[in-house]
Amino acid sequence: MFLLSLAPDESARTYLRRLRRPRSFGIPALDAVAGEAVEIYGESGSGKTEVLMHAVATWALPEPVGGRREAVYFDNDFRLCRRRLRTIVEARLRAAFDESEVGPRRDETLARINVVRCASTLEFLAALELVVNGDTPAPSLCAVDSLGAFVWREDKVADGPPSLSPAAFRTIARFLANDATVLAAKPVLFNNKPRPDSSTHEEYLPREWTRLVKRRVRVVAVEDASSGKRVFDARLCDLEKPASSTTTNFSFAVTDAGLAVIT
Amino acid sequence: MPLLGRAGLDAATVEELATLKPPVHTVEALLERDVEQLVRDCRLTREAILAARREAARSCLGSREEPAVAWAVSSGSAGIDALLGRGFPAGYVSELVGPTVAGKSQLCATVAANAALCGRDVDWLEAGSCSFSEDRFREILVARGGDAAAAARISVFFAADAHALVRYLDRRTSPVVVVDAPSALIAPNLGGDRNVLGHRDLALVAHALERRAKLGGALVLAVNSTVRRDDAASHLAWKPALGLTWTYAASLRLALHDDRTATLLKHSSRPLEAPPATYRQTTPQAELDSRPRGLVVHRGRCHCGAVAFEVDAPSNIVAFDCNCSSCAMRRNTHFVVPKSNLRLLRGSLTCYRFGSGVAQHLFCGVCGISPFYSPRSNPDGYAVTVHCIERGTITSLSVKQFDGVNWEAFIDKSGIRVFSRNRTKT
Repeated sequence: MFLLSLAPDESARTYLRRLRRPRSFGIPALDAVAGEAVEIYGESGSGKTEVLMHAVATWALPEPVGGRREAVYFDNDFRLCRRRLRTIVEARLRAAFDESEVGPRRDETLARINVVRCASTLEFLAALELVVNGDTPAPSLCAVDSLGAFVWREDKVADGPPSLSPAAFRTIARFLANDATVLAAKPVLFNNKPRPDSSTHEEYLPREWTRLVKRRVRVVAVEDASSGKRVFDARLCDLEKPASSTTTNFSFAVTDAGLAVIT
Repeated sequence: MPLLGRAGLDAATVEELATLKPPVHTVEALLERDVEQLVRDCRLTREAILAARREAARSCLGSREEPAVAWAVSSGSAGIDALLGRGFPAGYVSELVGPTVAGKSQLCATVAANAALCGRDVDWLEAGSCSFSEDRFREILVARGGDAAAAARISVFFAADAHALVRYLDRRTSPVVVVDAPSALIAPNLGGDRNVLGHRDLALVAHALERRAKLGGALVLAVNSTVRRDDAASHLAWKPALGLTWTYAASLRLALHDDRTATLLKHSSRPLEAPPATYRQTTPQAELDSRPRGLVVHRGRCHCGAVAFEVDAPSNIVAFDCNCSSCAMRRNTHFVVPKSNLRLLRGSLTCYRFGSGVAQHLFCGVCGISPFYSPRSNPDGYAVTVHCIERGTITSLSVKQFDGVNWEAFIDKSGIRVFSRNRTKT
């Protein structure tokens, strides 16, 4: 059982309320990682954005379907399709509530999800600053899609100003200090020695991030031989412990209502 | 790099931050510094520093509106449109990938023509594809019913390198952008993952395309070539060129194969229920030819030769023998074709109407023969007299009886209406 730590200036009532509402992403295997920084690593078309959308939707949906919490989604790749997010939220609400309640509940769910589009590292840093340091209390889930968006676009000049991405990751560290969760999609940008079991991981992010991240989910798209559909395999591994002992595997398919977890 | 003074911070704070070592003059520098370090080195309170950072952050972020309506442009092929939804969607970067001479540039030209006909401006960015031909473009436009006004909506630019491409992308604001083909421009510089500057150019182009699509709401269509695939994981012998960095640029990837099939490899806004669906369908090339598959050109004339025409129809003709008052006197066994399949080469025809007035009976004013007319059963087609067709092109003829005397009762049973339906339309 994951014990929540007391936040500064938090009353006992809010603490207990937080404790009672379970923090769930809609994917059972991922629920154990609430409160940490998790990378979702995969090639193009392997389902990273889908996982993030599903997690964010579950976080913001009203009870009993979700957790009724605030979330922020940093859309650096401009990959989020708002219509798809609406469809996912509506489909999940329709399964739990009557048709008449779907509309207003959908609007209040979408109001809890703050989508920020960043076109450069400076905008990303500024948006993070406003989220962590802003007038409203920081949301408890931060989804970043994706971390590799600015890798090639920064000018690393020798005498010039320092690169901004380490500063962005330091701001994310402040965010994590408030017991929030960070789910980040990380595209495969370098694949110099591809292995058939797709277990390679080539790091390209600075140390400020690799110090923070404790878990990684490796997603791969596979063709399911039996039904002919496209299924996504995911492997959650803990980076601090050796790879062989603690890995949780799960697979999912993408439907209109987000993800359908198979195992 | 905006200065702090212009970002809305008060003068005292700006002065204080400038005394730090190294000094903080710009918004970037303020946000980049660690908060704890600022608190330690600077005489301002923690609250003041946090407020200053908030102001600086707010000044960086502008507000952006969401593109309002989602529209799409048809690809010109029914099968591909069905695969994609309605067509290529606006607000996304779509990638067309396939081996050479698979029809990618043709498909792009058709999309551009369709967009121009819908009244949208098109930017065609030519980036070294070696397949651009103005004549072919004009042919496609005219075949779809375009005119000079539609042609004027398409602007062509030639980009010499990646930076010129990015400049064109950022400067223009047209709703439809076609880029053909950035791989020819960028691939030589990539050096197989080793050249950092080449990858940076690639990332710049990819991001410029994404900005135009997502922030500008434009329909962006990019053509990509293929390279050989080393691992045997997939059934395809090739994979898209330009490497891993480029794969994240496109939200929609359509593969065109040698054997005239199209496969949808990636589509971010629709969950793919089935594996990449393969559609056997006529390519845009076949549909743009004036003779769709299976049809031959029959030539015909009236008795004196003043009227000559051509008609696209199958070589196996199904004709109707009608016993209404007019057809019985003319004894014209006729077969029906859609209006677009008939072309009048010379001469003019006189028109006679009677009865309901729906049918337009056309005949040559000199010899009185009716080579074709617009029947009451198919107002959207022509009924061509079989015996006016010159010998040699009809391989078989089957004649059905049409009870024109009891027209209203017979028309639905006859099955004649299907002959004037245009087969190439959706």
